[in-house]
Amino acid sequence: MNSEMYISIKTFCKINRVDESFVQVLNEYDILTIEKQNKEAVVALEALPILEKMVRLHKELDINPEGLHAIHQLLQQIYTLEQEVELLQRKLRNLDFYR
Amino acid sequence: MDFIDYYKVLGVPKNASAEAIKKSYRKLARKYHPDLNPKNAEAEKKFKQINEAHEVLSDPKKRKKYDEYGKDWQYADEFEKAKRERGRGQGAYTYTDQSRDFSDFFEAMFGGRGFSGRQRTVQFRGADYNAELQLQLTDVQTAQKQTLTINGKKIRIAIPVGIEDGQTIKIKGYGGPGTNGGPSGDLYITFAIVNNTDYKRDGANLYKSVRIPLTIAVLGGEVKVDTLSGRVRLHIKPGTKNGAKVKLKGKGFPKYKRETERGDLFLTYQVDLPQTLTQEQKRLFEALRKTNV
Repeated sequence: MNSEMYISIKTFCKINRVDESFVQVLNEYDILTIEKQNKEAVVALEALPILEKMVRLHKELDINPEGLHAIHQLLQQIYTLEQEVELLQRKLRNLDFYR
Repeated sequence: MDFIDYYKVLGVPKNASAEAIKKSYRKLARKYHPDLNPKNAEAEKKFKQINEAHEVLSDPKKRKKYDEYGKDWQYADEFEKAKRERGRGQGAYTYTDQSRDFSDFFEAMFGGRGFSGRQRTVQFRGADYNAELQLQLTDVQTAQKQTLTINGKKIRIAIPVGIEDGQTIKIKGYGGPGTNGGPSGDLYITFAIVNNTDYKRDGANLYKSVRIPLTIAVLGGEVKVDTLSGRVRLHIKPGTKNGAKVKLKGKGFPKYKRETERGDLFLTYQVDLPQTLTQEQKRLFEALRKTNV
């Protein structure tokens, strides 16, 4: 495991002034995955933008973990639907081209 | 620079209580927060305005000053100057350029963010970048890595197997830098897949026409067909009609992000009618005709 690809939850929580239990709850809701490295709880750097987004929503908008879970799922659905719309638009353009 | 009605921005009356202002701010912030409105520049602008209005109206000192000068805010520095000359004021704010926009209205009134009391810096996520990458269909049969240069920055990306034409992948944090320590935006790469094969592709399924000789269509036999995963032998049933279709399971295109799983290959038989016949062939066909086939 490459340590440069992970950030310690302890460090993250200290910098962002959030309780470690907050990250634990996000893990329980499958918003991100907590891993172990040298017996220390860490998250992958690629999950950092999601974690930071959740902290912002929690702190700035007072959204509780249940709400964050719902938001996370809906945002993912929006992203998937956007992808699908783009793909269909592209296919439609191709069809028009061959018509 | 126009006067900005912060009360209007937050949708509260001028005599609104601190609690009502907070409540309205929370409601609007939830609606327009950039994290909840990805790729929505209008929402981001609105969120900025709401934050600015809240910053002023939630701070009693700032609110008092805003209420005091109101629409005459542009004379605020003159008032302050006069106060200073009388030895009473300390000149807390200045403004110099009257042609500036909304945010500068705030700075003109309060001399920049965090003029007094609680300092609150609003962080904004950086802009998302969009890029297009052209690949050939045969290239995306396997997962591969490519190095791209986006805004002078080299990024090595993994291209998932089976990616489709027009599909976009998001690379987190490789967009524009954030403001005030905000997170960077994301990089969206849209793939343009050029079909360099004679297959028609629909997701992981492939479609192709195969020409078979008339005699094999009538009597049955074997033909060899090239697929993307190698050459296969096809047993043609006797009496195969022109336009008949056959499905070769697992001989299609690799499924998205699943290199070992493939879709199906659908073949349509096109029976080849001979255009020119030798004397012998013609004689045989004549003989056939007499049998009323």
